[in-house]
Amino acid sequence: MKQTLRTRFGLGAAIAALVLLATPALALGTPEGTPISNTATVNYEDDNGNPLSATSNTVTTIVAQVAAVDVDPDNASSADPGDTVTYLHTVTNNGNGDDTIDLAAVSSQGWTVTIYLDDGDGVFEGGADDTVASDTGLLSADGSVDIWIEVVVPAGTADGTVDTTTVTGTSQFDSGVSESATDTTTVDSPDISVVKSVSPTGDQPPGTTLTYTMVVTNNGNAAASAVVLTDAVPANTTYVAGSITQDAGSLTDGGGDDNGDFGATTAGTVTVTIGTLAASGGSTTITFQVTID
Amino acid sequence: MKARSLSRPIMIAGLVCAISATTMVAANPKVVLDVGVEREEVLVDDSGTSVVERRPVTRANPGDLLVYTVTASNFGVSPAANATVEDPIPNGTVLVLDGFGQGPLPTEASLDGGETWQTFPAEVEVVRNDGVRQVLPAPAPSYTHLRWVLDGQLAPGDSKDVSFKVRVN
Repeated sequence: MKQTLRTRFGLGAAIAALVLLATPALALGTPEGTPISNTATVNYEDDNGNPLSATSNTVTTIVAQVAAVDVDPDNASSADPGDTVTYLHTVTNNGNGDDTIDLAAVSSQGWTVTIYLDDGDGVFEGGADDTVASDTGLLSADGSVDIWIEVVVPAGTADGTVDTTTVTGTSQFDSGVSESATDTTTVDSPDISVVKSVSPTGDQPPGTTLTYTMVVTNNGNAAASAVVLTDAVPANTTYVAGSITQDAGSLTDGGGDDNGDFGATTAGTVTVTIGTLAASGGSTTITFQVTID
Repeated sequence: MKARSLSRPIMIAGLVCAISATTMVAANPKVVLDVGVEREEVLVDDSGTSVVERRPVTRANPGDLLVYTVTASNFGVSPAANATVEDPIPNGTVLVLDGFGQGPLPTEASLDGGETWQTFPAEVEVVRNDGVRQVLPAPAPSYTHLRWVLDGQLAPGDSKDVSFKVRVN
């Protein structure tokens, strides 16, 4: 009774042929509204060996709509305080019928987040031709759109701050069906510290020369620019003329000729315009001297 | 149609008709087929026990399990000889192989729209790219038709059920 099918294709071709026999399926199944019908047949013979046959009633089951939503991918980026970061996602209707997918995006840091529908070119153009949206518009089964999530990092955000903005697509057909993706923004900002020391230490008699040393360091993850150090000469001391140094090089007391001055920018104050300090440990050392009155 | 004037239930009237019609020709079998469909649902009762239930269904979701039951009844006055019941796997569904073919009736399957038949479970012979022939179990989506051999099972008044389960794509 066993008749083995003899397939003369290669294995790949055989599997391909078998797959073709199956009904083409969408990401999530048969299109909604498709009738699934079944009718059985019986073949038999009468007393004289004459063939007879009959068919059954037909039962039909209609495929109902099922929602499914896909939001991809997860993204991550670093940003400076004050930056605006944009992230691209694809939102797909994986259901078996038409659906509109509601869009929402929430920042864990409470930052301002805006959703844009891409106009099809995959390039973020802001309000110019990517429209602000709260849903995808009608998507057919397996249909998708690209969306942009714009995250505004507030100025002054601390270095190392991490924001997770969660983008959620929710089926309007079945609000119980949703999927989310995340956009993780890590803030890089400068983090300047000044460590000041004096030599010699302890009680000193009048006339003693004191050397102040300031080590200025950027421990942040972003470069610092326009860094300026100011230090007022203490009361009951007198600034030692021409004593300012930066990284062991002398600076004049006059203003405008080099990074440093005494009294030119602010009376009675040492001012050094350091400029840029590199991220993650950029450092400079400033010294000046006073004598105790 | 004298039977119409009878004040008896229609079912009985129909039976009388069938018998009188067949007696006029010869002592023949008359097989009537009925097919029904139910959705198989796994329910969890209060104690956490899973219970499989079958319920009438007109709308199904992708992934649902549908159970088709075909009933063959011989309303004739002699046995139906060489009877086979044949049913296609409905479009949009895939036969569930697990647990199928355990019934007492010999079962056959077709992978080619009913052209050729094999004893269940069906196999496919493939020639690999290296020339080696290999017989593999036929994958579930490749089944197109099922057939049950009811020979000698359908005496007058007899009724047989066959069933199969599919998953909606």
